[in-house]
Amino acid sequence: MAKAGKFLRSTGVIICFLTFGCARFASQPTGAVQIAAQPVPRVRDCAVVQTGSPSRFACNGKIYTSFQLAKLREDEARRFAAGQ
Amino acid sequence: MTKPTWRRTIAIAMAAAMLAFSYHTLAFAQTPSPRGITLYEDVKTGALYRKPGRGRVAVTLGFDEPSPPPAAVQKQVQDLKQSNEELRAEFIASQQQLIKQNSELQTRVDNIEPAWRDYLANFRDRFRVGTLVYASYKMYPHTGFGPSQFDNNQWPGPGNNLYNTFDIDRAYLNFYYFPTDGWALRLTPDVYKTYGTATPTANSHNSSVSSNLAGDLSYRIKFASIQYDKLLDWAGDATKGTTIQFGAIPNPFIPWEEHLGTFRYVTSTPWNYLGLTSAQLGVSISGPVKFHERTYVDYGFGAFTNAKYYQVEQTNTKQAMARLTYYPFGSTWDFQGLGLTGFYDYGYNNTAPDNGSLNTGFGPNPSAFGHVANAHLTRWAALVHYTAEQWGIAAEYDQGHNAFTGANLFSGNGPSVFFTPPATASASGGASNPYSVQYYNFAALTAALLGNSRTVQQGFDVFGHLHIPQTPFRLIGLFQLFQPNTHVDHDPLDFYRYMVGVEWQINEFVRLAIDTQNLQFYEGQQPFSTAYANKFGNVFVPVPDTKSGAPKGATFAPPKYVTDPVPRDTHAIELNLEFAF
Repeated sequence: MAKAGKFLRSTGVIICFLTFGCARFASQPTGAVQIAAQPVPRVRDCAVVQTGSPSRFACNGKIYTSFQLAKLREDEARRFAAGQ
Repeated sequence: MTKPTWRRTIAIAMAAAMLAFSYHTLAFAQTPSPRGITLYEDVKTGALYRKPGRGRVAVTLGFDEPSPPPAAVQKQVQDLKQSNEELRAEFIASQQQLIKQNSELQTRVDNIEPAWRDYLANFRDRFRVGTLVYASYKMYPHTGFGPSQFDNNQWPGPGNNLYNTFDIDRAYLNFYYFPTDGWALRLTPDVYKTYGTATPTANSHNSSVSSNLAGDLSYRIKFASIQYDKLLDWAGDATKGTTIQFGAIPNPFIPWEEHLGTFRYVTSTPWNYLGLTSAQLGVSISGPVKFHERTYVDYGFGAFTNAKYYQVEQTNTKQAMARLTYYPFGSTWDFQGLGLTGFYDYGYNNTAPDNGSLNTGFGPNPSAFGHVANAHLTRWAALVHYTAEQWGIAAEYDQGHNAFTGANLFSGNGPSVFFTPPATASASGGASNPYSVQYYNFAALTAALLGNSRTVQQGFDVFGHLHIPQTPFRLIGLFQLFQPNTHVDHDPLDFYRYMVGVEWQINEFVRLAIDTQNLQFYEGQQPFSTAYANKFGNVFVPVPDTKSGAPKGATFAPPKYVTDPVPRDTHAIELNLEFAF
């Protein structure tokens, strides 16, 4: 009887693990939907489209020049420095 | 009271009485008229008195009460008043207009900007300047012969292992001018390092000075063009952006492929490596075909000089190039998605027409290759490519005809005897055996296999890049296998090259890559029959032996085999830097 109970408990644990996996430990939020601000595109995450004066990059489906990306980065740095 | 006191009292009383009387008299005489004074004139003497008296008549001096003026005077006065009113009204109106004009003038004066400021504003909006610099450090664990990666990329030949150098591979200044809507002028000077023989120059009958030309930086025009990019805007959005260019311009394929590959500052694209330059003088048209904001076709075609952008055109022919890229699913930005590209080039070597009929050859046989200067050349390429924001890959097949000569193979460096055969390697012979000169047999073999007008080239290439997530690094790589003449069995000049590296996107303007670049001639090292080589170009022929004491008719016989015909590999480890602004 004790063996049967241990078997059932073990089976239950295994089934739970296979069913839910690591979902308990996932960091995804539950409940309310989190709305993240659109991040500023960074050149390192963009595709090089053309090298020249100026260079052009594709970021999130949109084309930016190197100057535009630099300005976005610098503006973001200023906002961060200002604590906004 | 004494007598004097009494008299004084009487005098005071009389004076007071007189003052009181005179006061009343004066008041009486001056009161009659509010506008004048009434006096009394003695009618006999004409004297005026303040007081009335006998023989005196009252005379009033001053303004008399005005008598009513006559009607004419009244009318004149009225007219005068009316005229005054009109003048006054006119004056006020003029004054107001003047005030208004002054106000407007002040406003205009306030708005006037200095001419230089207007000029600068105009200049700023219509002018752009930039630069593109490739710099590198290269270290060659093994040096060998081979094509160059850049125009300025030369290294020493075999036997110079561990050669290393800092290089400026490219230094562009980009000037763009946009005079009016749709038009653009581009001027791109290129600063480069010169090569060439520097010989002393005589500066007098008895003296000379050494040359200072070795390795100097020089200047040439890479791009100088005018373009109009609204050629087919009238046809609608589908063809918007169609551009016509004239001048020293990019050809339709090489710059396009450089952008597809994304790492031109590290190494060249396949056909560029084989000798097709990225720019010529000519005219071209390029543009997209779009539907619903997606590009389905991208093309370019044009007519160009046979000379490269830095050469003088010598031919009476021109070359034509065309490229067409098809995106079956549409492309939302340049290269995005799956693309199929075809390229074709038909042209000639850059040789003057009167040279075309001349026989050419190598070494002791100056007519080994016949009229090769008349021969045409073709290049074509077919690519399948897929590009995403985080990665891209392309596979390419190349084929050419007379498109890869010994000069192309040795654009990085080559045997000295290829460029200048030894004097004894001539139809008139010499006192020594040219076939025993180091690298001469290899040079003659190369000339035979690549110098004729029946060569066919074939190549297979793969290149791509992959962004490492959450980092500023990308993996980059290229592999090119090339057969310079498919008619040759076990061609010792068959090679492949590969580049593998990591690129660091430091910021929006600077990239740095560490990579290894390798050129390997992959055929086995086995002797190459000179009789077989002579089928392509009859360069291995007996050379007259003219040394003193040699029997009449003696010759230096060519070898039966070229030993060690496969060139040594070249390996390089490089740091490549790109600055684009």
